[in-house]
Amino acid sequence: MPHIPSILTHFSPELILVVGMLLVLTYDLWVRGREGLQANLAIITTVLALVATLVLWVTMPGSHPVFEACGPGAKAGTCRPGAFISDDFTHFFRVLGLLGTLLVLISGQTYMRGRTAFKGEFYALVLSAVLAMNLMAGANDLIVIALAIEFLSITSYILTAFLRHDGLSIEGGLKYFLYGSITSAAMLFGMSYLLGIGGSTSVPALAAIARNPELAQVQGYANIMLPALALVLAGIAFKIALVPFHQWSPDAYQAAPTPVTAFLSVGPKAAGFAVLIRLFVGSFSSLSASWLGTMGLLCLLSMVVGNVAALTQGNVKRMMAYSSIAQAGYMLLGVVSLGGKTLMGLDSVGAVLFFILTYVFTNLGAFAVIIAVEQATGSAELGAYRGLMRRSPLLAVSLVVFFLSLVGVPPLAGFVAKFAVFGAAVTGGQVPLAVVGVLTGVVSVVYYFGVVREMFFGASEEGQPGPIRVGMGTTFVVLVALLMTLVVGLWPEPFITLANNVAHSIAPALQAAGGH
Amino acid sequence: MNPEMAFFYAVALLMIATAFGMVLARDMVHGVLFMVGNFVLTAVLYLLLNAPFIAAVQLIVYAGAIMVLFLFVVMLLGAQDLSLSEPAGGRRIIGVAAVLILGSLLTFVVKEGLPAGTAAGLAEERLPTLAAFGREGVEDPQSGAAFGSPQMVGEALYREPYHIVPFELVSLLLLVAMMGAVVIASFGKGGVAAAGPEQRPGEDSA
Amino acid sequence: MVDNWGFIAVLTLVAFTVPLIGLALSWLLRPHRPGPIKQTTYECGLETIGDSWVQFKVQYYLYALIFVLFDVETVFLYPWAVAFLGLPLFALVEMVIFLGILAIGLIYAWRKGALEWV
Repeated sequence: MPHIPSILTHFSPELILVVGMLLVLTYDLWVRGREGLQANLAIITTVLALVATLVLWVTMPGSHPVFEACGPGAKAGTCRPGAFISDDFTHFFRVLGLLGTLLVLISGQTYMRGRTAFKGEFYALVLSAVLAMNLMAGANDLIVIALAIEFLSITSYILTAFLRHDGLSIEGGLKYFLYGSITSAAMLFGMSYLLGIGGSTSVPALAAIARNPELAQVQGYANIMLPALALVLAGIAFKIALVPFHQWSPDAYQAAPTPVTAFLSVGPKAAGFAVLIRLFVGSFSSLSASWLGTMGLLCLLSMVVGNVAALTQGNVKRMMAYSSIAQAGYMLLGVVSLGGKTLMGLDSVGAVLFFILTYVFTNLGAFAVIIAVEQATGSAELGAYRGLMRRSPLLAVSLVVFFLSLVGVPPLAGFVAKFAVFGAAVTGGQVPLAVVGVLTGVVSVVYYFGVVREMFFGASEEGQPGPIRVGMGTTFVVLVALLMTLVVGLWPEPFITLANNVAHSIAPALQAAGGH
Repeated sequence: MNPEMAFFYAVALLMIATAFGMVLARDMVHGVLFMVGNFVLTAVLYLLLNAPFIAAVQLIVYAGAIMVLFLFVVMLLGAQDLSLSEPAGGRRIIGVAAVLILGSLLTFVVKEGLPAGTAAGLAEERLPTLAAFGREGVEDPQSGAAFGSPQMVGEALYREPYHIVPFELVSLLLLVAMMGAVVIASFGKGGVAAAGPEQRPGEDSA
Repeated sequence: MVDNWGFIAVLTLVAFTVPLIGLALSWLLRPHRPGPIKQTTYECGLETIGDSWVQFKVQYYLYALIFVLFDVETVFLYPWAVAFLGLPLFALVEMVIFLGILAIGLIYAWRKGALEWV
């Protein structure tokens, strides 16, 4: 069996996650006397998968297809290229997903402890979600893409509705589920057309057909690829929460347990962009003239609706939902700026990757603070932040830094990221979108400042609430996020080089075409 | 009219009858039972199209699993409460409009046919190409399994390691669904529910 | 191909005819003495109370779901079993892992008491 060594090495992070998830789920079946350590087991699993990924990335760079179809009956050179690809791009998103989950697990541990008795299930579900994200990052086949997205969706629905004695949590989960099942159906419908035209679910095979319609199994229908891809885009846009596929997100973000909200705001978005970039930029770039307009529209709507709707929110989790819709809009701005070049020769895909990198740390930092405040005050309403500066200077100052980075104020990470994306947009022929991006960025100052004003200048009516005790885990996560936000902002070169290398691994054709 | 066509028309008429029965049934449980009949007849239609595996899946998944869920939902919500619910009103107009649009589209496609030279799936001579679907590169099915047979599906799924990820992912997906059911749907006393309403914060040691 | 379906058609016909013959014969042979007692529902000799279409408890949904799980499993087992002789060894390993994960699911549901009759 020549496949087994390849699977055991290049698929090892996922295998570790599967084993860890099963162990966490059955924890109380085989462990006696040491209850409640599922969270630690989940953290260990995540760390192991992270280490495995880093080892793979460093020792075996390049593209490694896994699960190839080259059986004994296969003619030479007709192997299908593998249902899963372990390359730099996959590693990048694996690391982001695993790191993000690690931070969520650390900061959310105490939050979940008191709220549910289903510990094993909670951590098993979180590990399942990371597994799904990893699979999305490396998926090279429509079936794997569809199943991974569906797997992530179903885990997300359950995690959102996890606190089932809370009516709001169930309601948010149900709304998420209803929107999700319809977009999933649309996406599968689109994929069925791609399969019907191409006679294959393999993404490279379909990409070859997109370049040369003569290869199609069914002649004369190549144009159906465009509506089919639009339907697939709808499914991905739902996971990323791009307007107009975003209606579930404010409700789900507000209703979900806050660590889950933190996870949802980062994990599915990053994984969704991984699929989007691999599929559209990496494989179907030959059709870019057709999909650029649609994506540009999604980008415009997300930036405008996200930032404007965030203005009127009284609940910080809800506000962060709209804020992350807007941030996804900025990420998409980089995707539609094909061929654009910015900072230090960074191309447009690299700019998106760099933006996602900074977003993950900044947003998780902000959510670590939101979790801590909710634990202390029991609420995520704006009023809960009143006088936070007095109660916990660390949390208040950190939150200001994270918000400033999300707005894009120098010298923080968010500034470099926004600069890179807008630069790519200007050189990539998306000047109007870049202008809208800058203007909506200014609008975003208003709603972030609303929270800041409460923290610093809000006088509380009922006396002086005491200082907030911040747990070890939260402090750790906040400090890591702060460090990353500052380091990436002040010393972005290594991260830009990294993003650029990763971008080159996914779209080498783009590099050749990117010169003009 | 050859016997096959006669059989097809008999099945088709029964399908239309069961579909009407399902929509018009005043009792939800009767509606669901009509639906089972419709599903089984659809499976017969698949058999006529020489797709025995799809027919089996139709029976196992639709007439089996989906139906059980339908019946459970009906019984959970109480069959009596669901029957004779509020009048359809405006929804009926939308429904009729949707049926008309779909009906005219289907009529158009059937009458016009697919453009010349493109009716790949329908033309007999294209069938070998379609049979190679999902297994390009494999020279020739050694087994000589017929297109659409369970054997061919089995070989396409399991001969190469290509489909390991989606296949095993399905079992994990079912496991996650089970977790979701236990976490969200278990109420009351005993068993699962003993884990029920929440502990005080910080009650357990970590 | 057609012959096979012909067999199935004949078998279906026989399957429907045999019980019909039985019913017809008993209808011909039995004495005909109707009475009100004979119209009641037979339930272990006890009078039935209320309607049989009552609202179910939500726990039963778990049974339904677990049934669906194993039902879907058969969809994958069926083509695997039919093609088994032509498959390499790892197809067996694949299926063992597949069933193993579902078995863990069953054990999990069992231990959580989801299968307890309440």
